Amino acid sequence: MRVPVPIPGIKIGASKHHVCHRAKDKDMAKIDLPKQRSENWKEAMLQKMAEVLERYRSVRLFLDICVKCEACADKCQFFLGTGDPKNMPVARADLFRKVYKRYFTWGGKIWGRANEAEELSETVLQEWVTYFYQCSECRRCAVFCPYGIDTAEITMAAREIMAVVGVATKYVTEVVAKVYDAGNNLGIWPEAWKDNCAFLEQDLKDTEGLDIKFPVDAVGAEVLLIPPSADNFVNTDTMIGYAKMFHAAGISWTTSTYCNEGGNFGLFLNYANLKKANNRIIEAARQLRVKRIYWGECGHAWRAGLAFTTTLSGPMDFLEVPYPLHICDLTWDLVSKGAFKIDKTANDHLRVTYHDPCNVARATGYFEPPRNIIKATCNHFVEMHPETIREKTFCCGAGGGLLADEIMEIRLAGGQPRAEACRATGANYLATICAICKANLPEVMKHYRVDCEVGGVHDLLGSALVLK
Amino acid sequence: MGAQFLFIFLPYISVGIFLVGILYRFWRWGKTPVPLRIVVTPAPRTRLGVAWRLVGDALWFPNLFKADRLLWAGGFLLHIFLWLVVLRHLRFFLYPVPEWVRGIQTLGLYAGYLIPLPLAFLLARRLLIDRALYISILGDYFALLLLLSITVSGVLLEVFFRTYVVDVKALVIGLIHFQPQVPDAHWLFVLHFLLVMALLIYFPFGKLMHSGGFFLSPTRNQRANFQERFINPWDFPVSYNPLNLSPPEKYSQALEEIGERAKG
Repeated sequence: MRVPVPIPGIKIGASKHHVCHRAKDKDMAKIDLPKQRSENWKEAMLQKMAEVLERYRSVRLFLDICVKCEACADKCQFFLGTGDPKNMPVARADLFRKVYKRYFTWGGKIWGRANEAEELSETVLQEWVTYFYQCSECRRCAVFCPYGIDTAEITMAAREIMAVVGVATKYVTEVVAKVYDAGNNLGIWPEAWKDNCAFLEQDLKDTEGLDIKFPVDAVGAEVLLIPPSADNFVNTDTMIGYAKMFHAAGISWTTSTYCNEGGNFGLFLNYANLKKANNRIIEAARQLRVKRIYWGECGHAWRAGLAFTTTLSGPMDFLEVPYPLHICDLTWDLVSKGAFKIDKTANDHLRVTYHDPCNVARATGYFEPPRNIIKATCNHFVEMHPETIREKTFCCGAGGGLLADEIMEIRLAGGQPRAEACRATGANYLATICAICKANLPEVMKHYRVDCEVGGVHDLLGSALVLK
Repeated sequence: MGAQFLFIFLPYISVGIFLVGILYRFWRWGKTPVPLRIVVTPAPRTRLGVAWRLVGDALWFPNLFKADRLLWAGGFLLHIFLWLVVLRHLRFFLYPVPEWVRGIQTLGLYAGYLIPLPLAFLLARRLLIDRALYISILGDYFALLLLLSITVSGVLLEVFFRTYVVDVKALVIGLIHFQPQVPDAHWLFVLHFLLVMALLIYFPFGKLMHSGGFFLSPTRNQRANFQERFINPWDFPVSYNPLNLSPPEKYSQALEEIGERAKG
């Protein structure tokens, strides 16, 4: 078995109707992008394309050296799910490549038709909007490409180029704008954040009789936690897990109302917003005078945090080394040293499997700490098929800014391989450390009738910790 | 005049285009910066690890092996055979012929006989797998057919239309020492020679540049040394749009208020 779903025959145009909604004017203004396409949008796009080609070796090189061996084609969950040939990574890159050839290579300029070079046109732009927003930038193709061609780099470049002429999607731009307004992707205002924290404190007191604090904006705390905001709103069990862990370890911690979000949606839009959203984490840490920053259970956050933060937001030398750190580093460190009293039988009703979020797996190679925590807190742990875990993990189907309701069919199609791999294990709890996986996979499981709950790793710790 | 052009001017022109073209491509890629660390797991942490990975990638294509065993077998054999054949041809370029070149003559000959097999396999794949057919363009077929015709003509020269190798060697050595002389050659040799010149000219422009290009691929040659700062040479400062509601100043203000409330 190479993949948990059969490779489909190609169905031309199968997913061309699933287009994300266009961005709202007010959001575009807040994130420094034009609201409308101007008269000379083609020139503007080509100018930006030239700039991108000068700035990213990855883009130019990947466009040049692909030999079209087709090894990546059946690795993309969106191709496996939809059968649309333009969802094969190589064909997705071809959408960019044909314009690149036409304007930036001799072969395409002189002998365009034979080279499949194509002029930039309304049709091409529509294809770009459709298919570059059906890529979750999960980079599974890059693992299998003999030259390491990373289609996410092409997708990011295409989105950056479209953004300069005001072409972007509602979901992504809305989320980025919310970060600058409310401090997080969900648009939870500071007062509401504090309220949620107070509610969780009260809830723990009422249901479990525990007196555990969820500190907010505590200046001088030792640790700043950057969770995905969904942990304080939807996946509250994960938030409770963090709080119990900090409480049991006796570490002073805080969240910040200025930046209570790790998931960086600038990654799905353009460099300027990637940098600006990332800077907020460092700004918050400086203002709160913390010693360490821990990134919460969030996939894109951990990629931006570990791989990009020092580049984007300057040296982090005001923090204790080593940095950047993931919350699972801390938890596993403490668990392995025997700092907690853990009752594994609390999770005995669960048969747990672990889903590697794509960014955590492929961008940071972070596999062991979450698995170790699960094994330390649960008696029943099963791995999914080896071709679908670790760096070969499938995307949940909604990463990379695809968690929009209008493309639900794409999300479900993309999640299918993961759902089938999960079904094969017979697990009833799929643990993962990514808020987007936690949002999309329940939909996917429901759709494919896989009887499996989706939750975080700290949820398991939270229920197994003995605090009394 | 035709023969002079073919055996004297064309070789210099095509080798010139080949070398200048490759250098230009590398220079173009090399001067383009790499702004972010975009490693792909499994990523080495040290320079030595990177070197080892690049060598491995160049020699036995581990990623392709993970992706598709059959395709890997086809690709791997093709490249091994091509190397053997190219090395075998060194006997025309070196005088005296080193012992190891003599040693691989037979091996290289068999490699030459077998080369059409992986080439035909790769061609058949392109035509028979719907996904491959969809993405294949003229350049993909051109490269395969060019290699196929070079190897078939080469094998025919070896087996049926024996060429007087001393003449060939005189031609090549003459070119190398800038004292070219026009040989008296069979038409099939002329064809073989012409096709190789075409390959040299085509090489820097098309997808064959994957051969050296991947050494510069950031996902292949970067280190996963996350503790060290990675610098983006074209980084620029960003500032907050006045429409944004929570810039850092506002946050400091809120923090101060909290502080005062705590004191009071």
